[in-house]
Amino acid sequence: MSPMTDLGLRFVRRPGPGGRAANLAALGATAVVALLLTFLVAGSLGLVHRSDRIGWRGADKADPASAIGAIGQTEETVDGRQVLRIDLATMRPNQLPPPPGLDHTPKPGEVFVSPELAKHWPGPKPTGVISDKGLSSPEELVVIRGVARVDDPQYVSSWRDSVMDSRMVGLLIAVAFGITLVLFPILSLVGQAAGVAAKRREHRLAALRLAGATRTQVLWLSAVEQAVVGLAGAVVGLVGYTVLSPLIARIPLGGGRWYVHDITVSWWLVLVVLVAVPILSVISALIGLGRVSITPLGVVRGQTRKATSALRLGLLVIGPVVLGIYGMKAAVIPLMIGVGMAALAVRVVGPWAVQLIGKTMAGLANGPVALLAGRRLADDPKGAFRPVAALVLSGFVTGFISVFMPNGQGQDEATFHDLRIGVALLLSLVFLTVAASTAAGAVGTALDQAAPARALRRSGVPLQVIERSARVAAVVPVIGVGLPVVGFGALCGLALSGGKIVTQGNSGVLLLIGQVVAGLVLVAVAGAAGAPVLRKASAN
Amino acid sequence: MQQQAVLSGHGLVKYYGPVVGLAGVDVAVRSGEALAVMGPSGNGKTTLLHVLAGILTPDQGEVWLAGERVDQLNDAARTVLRRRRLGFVFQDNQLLAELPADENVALPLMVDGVSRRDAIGRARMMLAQVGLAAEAARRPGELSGGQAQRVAIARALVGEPQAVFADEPTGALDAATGAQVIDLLVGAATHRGAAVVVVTHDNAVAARCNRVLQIVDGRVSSR
Repeated sequence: MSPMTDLGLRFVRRPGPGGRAANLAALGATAVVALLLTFLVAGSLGLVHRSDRIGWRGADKADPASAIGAIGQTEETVDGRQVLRIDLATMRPNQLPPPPGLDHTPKPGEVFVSPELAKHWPGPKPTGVISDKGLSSPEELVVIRGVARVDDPQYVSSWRDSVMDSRMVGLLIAVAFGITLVLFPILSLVGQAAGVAAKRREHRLAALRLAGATRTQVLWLSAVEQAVVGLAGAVVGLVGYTVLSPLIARIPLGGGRWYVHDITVSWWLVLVVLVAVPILSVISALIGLGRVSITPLGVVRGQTRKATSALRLGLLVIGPVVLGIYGMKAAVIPLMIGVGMAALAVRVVGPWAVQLIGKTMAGLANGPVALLAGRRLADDPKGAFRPVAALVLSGFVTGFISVFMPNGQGQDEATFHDLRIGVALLLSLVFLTVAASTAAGAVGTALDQAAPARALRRSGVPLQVIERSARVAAVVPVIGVGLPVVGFGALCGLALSGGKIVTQGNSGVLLLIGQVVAGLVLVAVAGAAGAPVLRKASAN
Repeated sequence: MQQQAVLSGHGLVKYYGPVVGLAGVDVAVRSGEALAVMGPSGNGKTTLLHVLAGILTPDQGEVWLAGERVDQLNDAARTVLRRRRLGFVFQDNQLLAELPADENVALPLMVDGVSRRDAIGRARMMLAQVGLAAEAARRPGELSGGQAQRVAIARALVGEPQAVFADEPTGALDAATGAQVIDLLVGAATHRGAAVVVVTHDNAVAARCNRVLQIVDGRVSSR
């Protein structure tokens, strides 16, 4: 083992003053990242699994000569419940296996029902119960009836066809959009998690550089430390996901609750998370440490950072223009590029806006709280924006979605249901990311401020002044940048819809108000995670 | 004794669990007088400074500042007392990296309710008195170690304190810069009538004070 690897592992075991809190915060945030990534991938795969099992029901307009069956679908009401009835006439019953979930191919007159429907089945005892291999959800209400012939039939060429029904296609597109929209918040969280631990290392590593360690040695040492923290976070996240799986399976998206096995992680997904999460966090940490390894004195002495350029504002134009050009008829990829560019613009413009707000605030401040908060924002706008980037981006998501909120009347009820659950789910993911990011950021800031805060407390400055300035510095970017970003999100939504507001009723307004209130409460609560750390670290 | 001395401690005892920090120290400092506290590391010098400054409360004994019993005040009252009547200089200046020099000096005044305009005005005057008028807009990272320590001295004196406490104020500086800094600190503080308590290992620093108190094993070994 190289000396630097040994030293890196030693620093993980004995992280020094404040290091344990920083490592725990980084581990917690990384665990949330691993959990979210696992959820997104396993959830998407779950949709595909679910769709594969019932794909044959969609038929594929096969040539009747080569088809193995003909089906007809009808919606009917049984015991007051909406039930899907599938009439199935098999063409070669003895030459092929039965359809998924049935123990034999239904002969004319035989009836198979789903377990949920079996509880309410009013007629004579059905021939059999459809197993989970033939159902999309344990709650699905479906009956498959064997018939000799089907009126107005559609033909099936294989029981394993992967023809998706329109609802599944819609859901997968929504998931793709969702992933695009939460990608930046999650990447921000990775950076935040790595940044908290890296900040604790800055001075130590700068000292090593001053003592003669090479740039490569310093970076390697950091990579070792961060990889261990990232791996531990990935394990915790995977365990957390597994523990939460039964709860996640209860989310009624895309036709009801889920079978737990649909969303259970496979060995290869475990491997991907265990490799990807540490790599992502190592890359984030190394990017953050570039400053140390290049100019160690700069970090040790805390010189002024370069101001961010207003040229970043130009990025704000690209997303709406792309969305406006392609509009609602576009293919998924250009739309995702448009939304992604808009989200990227928010991420890039955010720190510039934070710096502007900070300078203005410090210039106008008449009290110590506003002065400290303003200077902190102006001094390190990237650092100040990072913890709330996810929340600000969720404002973009909300603004965007608020244009497309139907009220469910006169429209496809199932689509409306999916959209509503999907929006709630998306915002929950973002809020979880924000909570982890804000809490990790608050701990990092508290550790950063420990020494001067201790000096201020000794000099008679109440701890409350320092805490309040930290809270103000956390909340101001949310209000100052987040609210305009909500408007920018709505603008992008309108660019996509060609200026048409799809939203009916007050659901869009409720969504926006809920987002703003929940976001501010979240930042205030999660930001409080720094208070006990600051209190302890700055104690006499 | 408390009638003559602006700052005094009588029979001060402080424990850290089973470890004795102070074992019955008596000390008094007059207005305009500078006292150097010397002794081996870990023998109670900084503990004595913290007890006299109201940062720590003694387990036994009394601390008086200008006729007011300090050790019986509650934490909030001691916080206000430190802010309004005492000044502090630490070894590594402990300035806020985000604030320029003038705002670092003005901050304690603003915390005490002085308007920004007045606080900055007084801070700049104070900076001019320590020879840093031209550096008022610079941040700590852009100042030399000696300049940053002079900003810290300006911050300690801007509130016209009755006593100033300095813990190894020249510990991070070279001998020549250290001599300038201690001369400035002692000269400016005593000129204003403040009592000065300096914890130091440096004989050159002690030589610039009026008296030296040697602390060994938590007791005064010589005066």
